[in-house]
Amino acid sequence: MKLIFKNKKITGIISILPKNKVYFKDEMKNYNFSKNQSLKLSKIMGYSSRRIVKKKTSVSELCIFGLNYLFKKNLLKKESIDALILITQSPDYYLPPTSNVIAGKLSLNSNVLCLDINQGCAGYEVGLIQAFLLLDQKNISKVAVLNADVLSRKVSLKDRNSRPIIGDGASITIVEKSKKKETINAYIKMDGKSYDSLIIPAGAFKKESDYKTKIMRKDEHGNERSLENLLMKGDKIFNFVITKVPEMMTDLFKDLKIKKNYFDYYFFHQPNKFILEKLAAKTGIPVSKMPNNIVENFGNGSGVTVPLNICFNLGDKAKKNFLKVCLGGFGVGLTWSMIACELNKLSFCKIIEFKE
Amino acid sequence: MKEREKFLTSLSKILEVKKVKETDKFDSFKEWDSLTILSVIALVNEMFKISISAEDFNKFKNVGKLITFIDKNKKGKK
Repeated sequence: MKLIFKNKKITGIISILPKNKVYFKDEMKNYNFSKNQSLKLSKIMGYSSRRIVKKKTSVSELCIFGLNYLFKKNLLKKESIDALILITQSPDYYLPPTSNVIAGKLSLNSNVLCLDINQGCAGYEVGLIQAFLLLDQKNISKVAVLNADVLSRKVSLKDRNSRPIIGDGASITIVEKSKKKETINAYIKMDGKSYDSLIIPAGAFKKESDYKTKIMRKDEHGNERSLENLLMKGDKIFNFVITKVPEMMTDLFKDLKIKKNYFDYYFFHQPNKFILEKLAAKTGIPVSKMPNNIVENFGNGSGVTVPLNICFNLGDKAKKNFLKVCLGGFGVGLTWSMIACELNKLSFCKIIEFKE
Repeated sequence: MKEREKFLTSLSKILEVKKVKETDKFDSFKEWDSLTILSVIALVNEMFKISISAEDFNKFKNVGKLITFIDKNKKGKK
């Protein structure tokens, strides 16, 4: 599916990270791997430190902290928000929507449209697409896109597939109407047949939580998980990413009649360094244009990785420059998406820390 | 043939042995673990543009069987 948007722009991005830092070296004793194997794993995958929530911090707390920061610093006016979109797979409750909870705690006007979306690794692109759609409405001029997850709470400590990459955090992206006539091109595809490649098998309504779903079991590689833990089939995800992402890129270049050097940056989702290096090799895009340093510094925080990637690797640069960027997300669903857009002198682009 | 030699050399680097023979069984390698499997999956994708799943390796009794699989799928794609 291709979607075209006009007269819309991203005007600011902020990422919120939990202050709590954990290190692969401290956690590797939990894995069914020798020290040597673990060190090799960390080298190949680029594992070092991550940010995860310490206590029972929830998605709404991270988002409220970030929005309050923007209000206090005069970077965003509370009254200017027309819609609040929260993209998360770790909501505060099954019901009500967590976006309503956030709007309520911040005393936002009851005219503010609140919307929760269940998406993960492509959640930034899905959220932006939804924001662009809403901005076509006369009464909607400014949308706050919140990406937030605390999925570390659902990943087993003894799962070396997923534990060494998982990160928590949130980001807020402000999307507005623009007078400039630039076009934003978005591409999105889904493969629901592979829904179980990345899944939390139990705990919701298909398989409700009971004593059985909490039993820890060992898989063939010695990883221990319960059915309520996140399960990632690493080989399936790898094959999916390395095939579908370059395909979509080729289609995008053809469709827009551009070459790969058209973009100043490729800000892609960050599953791990290994996949991103293979992706860079396959597509011939230099690492300097496709940063892959998020997992080693902060972990993979699902839909937060793309905005965090922008905040970490551009920071203040995004406030002074005009950049042509390709945003890319791929993962749970399975879902993969790319957005070709501009980052034109953002009013803010930074990372703040949330102290628990 | 050259491609096959190149593949076997890359495979030996991943498995951290001097030389890999087609009769070698995957699970007989000291370094055979889930990380090595992923590295081999990536290598096959890089060199031959073929996607292999981790489960497939249970079916490949030895290196030769993997090469046969690659040859078959390469031809099938042409």
